[in-house]
Amino acid sequence: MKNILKNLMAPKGSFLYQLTVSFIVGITTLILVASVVTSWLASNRTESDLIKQGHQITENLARQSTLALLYGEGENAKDAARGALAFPDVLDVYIYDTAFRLILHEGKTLEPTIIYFSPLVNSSALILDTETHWRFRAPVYSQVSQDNEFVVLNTKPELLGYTDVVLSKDTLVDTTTNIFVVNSIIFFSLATVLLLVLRFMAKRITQPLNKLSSTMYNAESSVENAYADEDGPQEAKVIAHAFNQMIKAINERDKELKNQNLSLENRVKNRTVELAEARDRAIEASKTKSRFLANMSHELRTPLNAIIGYSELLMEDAIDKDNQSSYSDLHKIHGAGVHLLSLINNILDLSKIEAGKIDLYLEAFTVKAMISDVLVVIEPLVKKNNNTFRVDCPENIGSMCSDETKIRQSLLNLISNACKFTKNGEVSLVVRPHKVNTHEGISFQVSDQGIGMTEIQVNNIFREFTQADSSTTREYGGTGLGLAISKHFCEMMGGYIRVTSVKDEGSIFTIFLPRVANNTSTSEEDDEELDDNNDDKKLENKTVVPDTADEIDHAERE
Amino acid sequence: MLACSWLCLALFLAPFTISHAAEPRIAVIYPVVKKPYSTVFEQIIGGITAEAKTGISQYGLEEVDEKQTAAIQEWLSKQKPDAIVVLGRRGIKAARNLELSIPSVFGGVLYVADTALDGSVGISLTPGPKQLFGQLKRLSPRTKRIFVVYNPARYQWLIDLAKPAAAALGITLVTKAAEGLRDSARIHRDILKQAKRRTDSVWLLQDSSIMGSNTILPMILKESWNKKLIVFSSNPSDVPRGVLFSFYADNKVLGKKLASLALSRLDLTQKSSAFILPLPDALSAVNLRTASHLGLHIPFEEQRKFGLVFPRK
Repeated sequence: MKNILKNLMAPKGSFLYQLTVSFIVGITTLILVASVVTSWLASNRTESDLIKQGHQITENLARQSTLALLYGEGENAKDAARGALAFPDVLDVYIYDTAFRLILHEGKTLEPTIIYFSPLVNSSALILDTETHWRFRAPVYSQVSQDNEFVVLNTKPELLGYTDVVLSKDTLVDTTTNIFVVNSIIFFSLATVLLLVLRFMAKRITQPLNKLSSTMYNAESSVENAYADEDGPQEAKVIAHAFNQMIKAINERDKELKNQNLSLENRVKNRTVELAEARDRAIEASKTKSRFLANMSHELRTPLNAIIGYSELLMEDAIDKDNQSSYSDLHKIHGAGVHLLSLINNILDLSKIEAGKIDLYLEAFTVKAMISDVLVVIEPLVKKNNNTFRVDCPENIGSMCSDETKIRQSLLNLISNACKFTKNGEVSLVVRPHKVNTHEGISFQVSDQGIGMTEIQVNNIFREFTQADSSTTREYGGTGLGLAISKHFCEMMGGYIRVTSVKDEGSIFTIFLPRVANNTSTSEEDDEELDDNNDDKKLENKTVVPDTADEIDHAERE
Repeated sequence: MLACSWLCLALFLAPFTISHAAEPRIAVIYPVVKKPYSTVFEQIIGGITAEAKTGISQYGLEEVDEKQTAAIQEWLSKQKPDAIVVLGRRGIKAARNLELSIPSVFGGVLYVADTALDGSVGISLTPGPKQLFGQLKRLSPRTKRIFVVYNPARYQWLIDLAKPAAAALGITLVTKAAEGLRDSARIHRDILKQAKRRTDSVWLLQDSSIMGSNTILPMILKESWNKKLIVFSSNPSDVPRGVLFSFYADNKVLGKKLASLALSRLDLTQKSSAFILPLPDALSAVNLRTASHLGLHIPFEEQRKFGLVFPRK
């Protein structure tokens, strides 16, 4: 029952459903209670009336039975007994004398001999109450004289006998049943009408809520124009008004978002156009710069070569004439010219690289021979800073098919830098065959025991015009273009260059190049093995690096 | 109806007068009752007052108890009456508790026990047999026997008066003593069986111990009606119900009679022969329908002599 009620009153149902269920339950309960209570009251009233009637009949019979009892003959009370039997529900009438001898019996019950002895009573009493009938008893007294002022000796009433009346309860049962049935019919009829009226009213009350609910449901798909009607009960109006305000706010916000989106798209489009234009301008400027630098380098190199050439001729004349002071000055002019030419060449190379105008000249050559050439060039630089130089190159290292000039330039750059930043230490060159994935190649590892670099410095070391820091430039000289050019050369040949360094301990630069050059670069991750194999060998060799200007001039002549 | 009896009694006592050498005072003790019964006592007291001439003292009794008795005693000592008349049941009961040194008479009751008031004399509200039988003889001269059932404890004195009265008229009074209603019912049934039409008649006494107004009386009336038997009664209220005739008291006359009786008691030389006297010179009541049923013709002049005639026109 509890579960049934719980299910009936589940909050998932609609308002109308819940209201209807509440009405039905409430009114049904009311009807049942009202019917039962009314029937109970009516039954009590009927029972009370019937008992009262029973008392009256019995007392009347008692009054009319006096003579019969005086004579001891029931015949005198027969008419009175039949009169009592004429009343509805009276089943039997008994008249007893004071010794409970039956004087008269009239009625339907065939048990007149059954005598119910009961204490003497002053007035009628209900002496038996069964499911089917009541039995009343009244004493029969002789006439009681009036207690008045004219009679001194009052006569005491004399008990003559008893009269019993048996009254059926059929009327009580019928009346109670009829009242219950009639009440139930009336109440159910009224309840049906009331339920219909209440349902109509509930429907009317919940209609605005249903409409509001429907509007809200539709608003899930589109809030545009999803406004609710503000009518119905006060609470529904308030909810509808609040909902409309919310929808209005959402619509306004959507509109604003659309406008902002449109504006943003326009701005992005404009900026994209501007960026494309800027990019184009930058590319064009870079190309212009490269062209300018290439042209300018070419134009500068011509007079500079003339200066270098004529300074060499004058130096030879000064030697011939033993003019020591002129030789010294001419030597400085020649050195400065050579340095300037180197700078210009580097700038020219970088410009060509950026302008995409530099090409690879592939040729087959033996690596050992190329290393030997490099060693010849590098020897003066090693000696300059009192360094030692160690070369580890297997005899069977084999040959390569690549741009030998660019490889040599890159190795010279690395070794000259190692010698420049190392004093009284060792500089080493380790050459090993190496394989990255399926690429057969050769690694060139240059180690020094120089000043080393921090991590930040390592990250910027391959950028153009960049050295470890400005103080490095002041102390050690250089343009900061060598490593950038070497990096470009390696990548052009399908290899790469990388560096590891420890501050104040030294650096290790490694070049990997495929035996057969191509334009596909090898990823740095593939070369982890090479680094691990060479970590224990780094900083083992020492070499001495000579004075920059003189040594470069000397190297070029070599 | 009971009031009619007292009225008849009063009328009956009207001729009694007494002369006084001195101016004796009479005190009256009466019960305070509601109307219409209070009228009876008022009329009786009026008769006493009229007869006493010198004025009387009255004491109304609400209740009878020790406090009241003392109050009456004190009242009497202040009034110093020469004789006292007590009326009604309460008056007799109060007088019984008093220490009286003066003559007393009682009235306003039907009967009393012999020992009710020592040395006192009273007048009953019951009509006298002489008057009853005289009326019977006038209406039915052929009557030879009168049957009466009585309770000796209450009406033996009346039967004692009735027997000579009947004999004087040549009528045989057949008396049957009954102890209670059962006896009375049985005896009455026997009487009715054996009584003969025209020559026999039945006299009913006003006594609830032997006469049930709703039991025996209806049976008697029914049977007598069927047998056309003359039934007369000492109770005037039986007349409308079917008895042929009865008598009732003239209350004022009764008062005068009581006053004269009280005054007569002052003369110690006069001794009353009876303890209680019947109602003298009462007024009569007749039921003409019963008379007609019985075949008795009552001339119009005779009818005018009746105080009350039933059925009422």
